[in-house]
Amino acid sequence: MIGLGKRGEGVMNCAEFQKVLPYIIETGGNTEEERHLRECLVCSDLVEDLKYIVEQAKLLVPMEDPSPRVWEEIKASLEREGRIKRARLKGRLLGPIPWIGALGAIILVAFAAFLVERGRQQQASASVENTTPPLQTISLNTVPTEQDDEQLLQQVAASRPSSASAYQSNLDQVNASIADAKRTLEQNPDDEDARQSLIRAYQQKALLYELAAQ
Amino acid sequence: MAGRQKMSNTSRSVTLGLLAALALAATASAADKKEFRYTVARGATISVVNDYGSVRLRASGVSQVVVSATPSSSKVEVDAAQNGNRVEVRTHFLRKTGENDGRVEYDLQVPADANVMIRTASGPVQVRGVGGDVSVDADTGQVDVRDSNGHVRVRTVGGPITLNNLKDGFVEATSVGGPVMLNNVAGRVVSVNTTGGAIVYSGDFGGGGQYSLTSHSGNIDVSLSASASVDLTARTVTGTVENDFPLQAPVHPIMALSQGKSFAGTSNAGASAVRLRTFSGRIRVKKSH
Amino acid sequence: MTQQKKTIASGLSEADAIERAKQGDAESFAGLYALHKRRVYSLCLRMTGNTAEAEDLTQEAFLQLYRKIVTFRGESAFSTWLHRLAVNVVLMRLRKKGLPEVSLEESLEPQQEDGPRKDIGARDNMLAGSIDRLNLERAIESLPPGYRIIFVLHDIEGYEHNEIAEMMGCSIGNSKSQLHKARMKLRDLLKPSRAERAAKRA
Ligand SMILES: [Zn+2]
Repeated sequence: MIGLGKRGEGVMNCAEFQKVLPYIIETGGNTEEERHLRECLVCSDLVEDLKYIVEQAKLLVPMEDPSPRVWEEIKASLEREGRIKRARLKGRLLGPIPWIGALGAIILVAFAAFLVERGRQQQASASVENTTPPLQTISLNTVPTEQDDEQLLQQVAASRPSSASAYQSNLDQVNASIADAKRTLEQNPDDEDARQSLIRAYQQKALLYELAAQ
Repeated sequence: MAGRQKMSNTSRSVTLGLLAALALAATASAADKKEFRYTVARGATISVVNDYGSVRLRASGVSQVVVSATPSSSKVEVDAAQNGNRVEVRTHFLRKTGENDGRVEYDLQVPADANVMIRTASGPVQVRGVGGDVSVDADTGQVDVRDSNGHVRVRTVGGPITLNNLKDGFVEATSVGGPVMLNNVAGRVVSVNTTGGAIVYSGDFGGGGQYSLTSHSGNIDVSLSASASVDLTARTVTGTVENDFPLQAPVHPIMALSQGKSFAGTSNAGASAVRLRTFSGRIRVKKSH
Repeated sequence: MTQQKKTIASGLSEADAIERAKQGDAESFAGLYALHKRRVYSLCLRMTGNTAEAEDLTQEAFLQLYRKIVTFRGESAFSTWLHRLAVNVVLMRLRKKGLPEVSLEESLEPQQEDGPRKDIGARDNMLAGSIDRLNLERAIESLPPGYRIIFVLHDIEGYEHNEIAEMMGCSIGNSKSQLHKARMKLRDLLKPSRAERAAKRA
């Protein structure tokens, strides 16, 4: 089809370009649209701005927790509905068999949040057009490795240098406590207290990851 | 002990900070201090994000939020705004700065029923008299929350945590390496967790709540008043336990007691459940005078 | 994306907690809440711009989750399932208040805002480098609800236009044009200098 009449001299103008922009911004336009974008400073500034906004939006991570009251109300409702047993918290945190899985779950959240943020940052700086949802690409089956710890420390050193040594020494302390509890458990797999110590050690590590990501 | 040392470091840096502020007082004009005022409705939320420099916040009797902020250099500015019933205050770095140039000291007054959220890196935090939810996160900053009856949650990497006169709430204090001190803290749920930080509790575990004090390698010291009504269990995996408080032996022992590693018992009506746990630290319970 | 995630997230950890929650294990409920509360709450907060409402919706979303958890069979990743559920809870609430439809319906009508910019032909300052998190959060908060929802779902939460169209009951083209208008509006909001914005607020 030849652009006649309606498109004036056959050259696309800004109004025409901006009219189709919503539909082509993520996919790219046809030759004519791409040419207008190349040649028109106003429209290319506009597109740059929009891409910048999208890029910055990707860097927004969840920052706030709901008030503890929310959980209390949920719990009260669940108890009323009989979905959970109304019971005092007992010593036993989780059943005795697949407990290592539960440990994973505890550390995962914070670690996943950390990875998500890193992923978002890398992605945003790499390409704005890549609209793959970053949250979906992370394995929830991992626990942090030594390299992850290293990366965490680097991130803190870059964003809050004054906190770097505190993260270093506390991460060392937490890793030592994990090793400590694991060793005891290997010798005595039925030691409930050692098992809970290990769970808590992972929770503490999760806290470090969570605070580092803020 | 690691916890102690950290605290004295922090208090030293606070002192140095104060001295520095005094020294600067002559040159710093009043124009450097910024003040913002916002009128808010009941249950407003106030959030403050400030890496370096202190945040002091206290409740007032009026429905107004007053923020006074003193930036230490022209490299930082204060970004404060009201959005509906939320007031957000944030230190904004104009250029890349460090701890010296990036410091802003904050003093805030908020309505007594406000909810408060504070995040600092090394800056110390003090919150007084707030009746709403209080949530504070810090890296190495010292955190002090007192005279509140709402929900309180404090988390630090190494910063010492002090909680004083908290009532009826849901209290959660977590530090990896910093010590946690609790003085007259009572509530429905009180939960303290550390890896290396010591935990010191003095009070009566009042209110029929659930109390859990847990450290991996830190020591746990409890001073209990004779009137305390508790059902207490204490246990360590590889550390030691000591008890100088008169407890009645539990009627139905729920855990196997091993000499030197655990003890349990009740006092008075046994209204509050108290759990003390450490992996390798020492637990000591004694009567306060 | 869901397929890939399904295989990835079918590991023990979270799955264990889910299985236990199905049997009424209180700790597992609490664990799942702890895992997901921040993202769900942020989603609610960004979509509504109101803390009290966001807390209420977070509560509602988790209650629905726990009521429905027995029906979760792992067809998609748990977090995908949960967030979708949370989005629906928020949309349901907003629909009751009649908020987003108003701006959704107008979207295909030719409108002033659809046309070329008033400042067409003149370049003005570019945004690059000028936005910080707080500015952006505030600008998003001040978007009209219909725009805000699409922007949050697409640009922050990472949903695709076809998913949004399905959830919102609109066309894909509609979702695209709304998103574009939201971004244009944000650009307007973020454009003036800090001083001008402050003056406008005062
Ligand atoms: Zn143009």
